[in-house]
Amino acid sequence: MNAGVIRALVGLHVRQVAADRASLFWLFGMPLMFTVLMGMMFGDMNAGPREAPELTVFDGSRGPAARGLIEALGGHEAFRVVVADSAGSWETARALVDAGSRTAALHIPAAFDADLAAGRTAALSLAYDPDRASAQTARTVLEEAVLRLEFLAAGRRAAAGFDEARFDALWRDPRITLEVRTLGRLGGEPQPSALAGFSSGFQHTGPSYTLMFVLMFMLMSVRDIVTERRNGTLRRLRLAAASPWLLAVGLFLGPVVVGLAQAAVLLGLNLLLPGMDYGDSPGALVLTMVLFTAVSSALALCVATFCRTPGQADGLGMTASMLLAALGGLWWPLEVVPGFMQKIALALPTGQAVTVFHNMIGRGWGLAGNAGHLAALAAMLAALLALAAARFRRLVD
Amino acid sequence: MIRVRNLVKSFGDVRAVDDLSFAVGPGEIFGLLGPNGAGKTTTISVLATLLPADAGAAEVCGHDVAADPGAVRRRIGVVPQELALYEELSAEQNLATFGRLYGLEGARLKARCAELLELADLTEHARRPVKGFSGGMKRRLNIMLGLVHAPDILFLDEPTVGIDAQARTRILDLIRGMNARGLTVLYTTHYLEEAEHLCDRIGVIDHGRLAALGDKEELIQQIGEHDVVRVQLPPAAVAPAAAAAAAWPDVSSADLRRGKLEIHCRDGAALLPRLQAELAAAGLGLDQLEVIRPNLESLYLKITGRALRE
Ligand SMILES: Nc1ncnc2c1ncn2[C@@H]1O[C@H](COP(=O)(O)OP(=O)(O)OP(=O)(O)O)[C@@H](O)[C@H]1O
Ligand SMILES: [Mg+2]
Repeated sequence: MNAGVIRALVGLHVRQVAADRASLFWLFGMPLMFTVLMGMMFGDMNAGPREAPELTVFDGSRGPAARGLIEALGGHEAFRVVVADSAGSWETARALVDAGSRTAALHIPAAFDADLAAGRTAALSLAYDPDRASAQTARTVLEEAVLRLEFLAAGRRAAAGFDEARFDALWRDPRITLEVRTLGRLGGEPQPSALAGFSSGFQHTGPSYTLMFVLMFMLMSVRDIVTERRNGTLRRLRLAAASPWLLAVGLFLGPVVVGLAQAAVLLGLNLLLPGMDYGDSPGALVLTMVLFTAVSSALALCVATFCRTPGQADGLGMTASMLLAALGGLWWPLEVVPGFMQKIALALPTGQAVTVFHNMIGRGWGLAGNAGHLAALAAMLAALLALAAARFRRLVD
Repeated sequence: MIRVRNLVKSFGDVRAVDDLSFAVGPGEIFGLLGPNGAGKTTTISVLATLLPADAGAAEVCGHDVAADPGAVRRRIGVVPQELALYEELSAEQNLATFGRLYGLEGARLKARCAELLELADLTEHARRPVKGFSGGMKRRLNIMLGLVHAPDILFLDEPTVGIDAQARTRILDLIRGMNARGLTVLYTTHYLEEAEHLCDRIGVIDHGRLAALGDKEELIQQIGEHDVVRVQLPPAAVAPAAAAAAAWPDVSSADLRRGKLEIHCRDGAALLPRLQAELAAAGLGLDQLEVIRPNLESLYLKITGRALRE
């Protein structure tokens, strides 16, 4: 009988969602569009040829040192070097980058080779677009080439009979190797792309958006509970359900079931995209989603007890989901926010859940590694359920 | 079936129900008649265990509403004043949802839904979303949702508000039909004629207090009201005529109202010959005359002091 009441309430919620086009759109339509878009943007990073951005060089000197420099810039994936026909000027170089048509532009003045040969200080100017990763790479490569020229010049100045050919040979045969090992589960595998050893951007945004949509849909349905109270159906449910507590459990579990279906579809869809996986622990994945969905539903029930009108429900629900998503690190990685904001994030269910996902995907941690975060989610669930229970009478009376 | 004793329920300063007492017997259709804000919905809410009373006691089907709300709920059906329906769902889904909540399943649930749809004449529309229904159809479904679990008593709170006369007649017939099968009905309304035609007994309620109680005849007797004879006379003649008539036997009062002579007396018909004779003697013709017998309407007006159509 009691299980029957709860089943009936869950069934009611599922039917309501299924019968309402707007609900279905926010449940699946909108998130699907998002996922496909994300997949197109981030999935592309590893796949398919792409036109590399252009680094333009204005070579006013046309001497051997300048040529050596230009040679050293070549052969990189991230950008391609194009030497302009004209000698150009610093202003032209700058204008090109400003206009957004080049990732960077190097200006080599006419006196460059002559100055170097005469032992004077030679000037180079690089204009680069700070918003582009390829420009950063170009800068690093240029600095390395400049360093070599610097050593060469230092050698010439230091010793009269400086053997430049021998210096070059030694430069190309370094004595120190630096091996960089990325930690986490992806580090060991050799990966051909520039993102070798890093999880792709989408591996993090995918789960983040899934969490966000689950939370958002749940909080959007606060409006439905408030509307039900207004139009009297909630009172009818109270009369029909054998006890108010059964009603409370039903109102909590209905959205959990819908939210889990939503999460399953979205997480499943993410898997179709290149480079996506959730680590090696299905247990941790399932438990995280169950806890997070339950926390969201309990939160929605709590919020509902504070709202009298559908307008208030919309306002409060939206505010709560925006704040939780932003502060919890669903919109940008928590690494970029200050320390105290990171602490705030971990006080929120969103921050805890997204951290578990990062641990699962990047580090390969399972239930044991995430035990602290999962326990935190469980504690939040208990607290929210207690609050919802304490205020439930306000909702149905 | 229902016994209400000295019930009181206040909202802040408003005494929504004020020392209310009445009883409803099995198989009866009892009407709670009163204007807006009289306390009808509040009374039903207390009886349906949805609101706690401040004082007094109420018993439904032998169970105290405060002490044993669960037992009361199983025996009652409640049809709220508002259309409490799931608009996106079909009529059948609405019925099935509440059927499941009351523990019906499988074939029994199906059969009960079909039966109620038939009763409400909604079988053809069973699968359509309720939001496309007419006002009358929604009202009928609203009633059926209170009947899913076959209750012994049905509380109907103004079930005909906002629908046309034809749809209303259909609903009243529906209620009579269910009553004939043994359902006890507590019916609230502010339509006098509904109470008059549908209900076995009527309690008139205003400002939370019971103003009159009984069947139609008893109510009319209770008012102790007189017939009213209204006569149109030339303006100059009214005042002397009123003075003269006031002295006649059996006349309680006679005066000028809205340009007419209005005589309150025990028996209007018996007064007519004398009235005619006296007027003729005074050389006055009888232009227009009406005799108004007391009815529920005058009772209702007298009690509530308001003309209430809506
Ligand atoms: N929840 C409430 N809070 C405050 N006042 C209330 C509440 N419910 C009812 N009242 C007040 O109690 C009085 C009786 O209201 P009630 O709804 O019982 O009247 P009613 O007879 O059903 O009227 P109507 O015909 O308009 O439905 C009214 O003055 C109303 O304003
Ligand atoms: Mg009412």
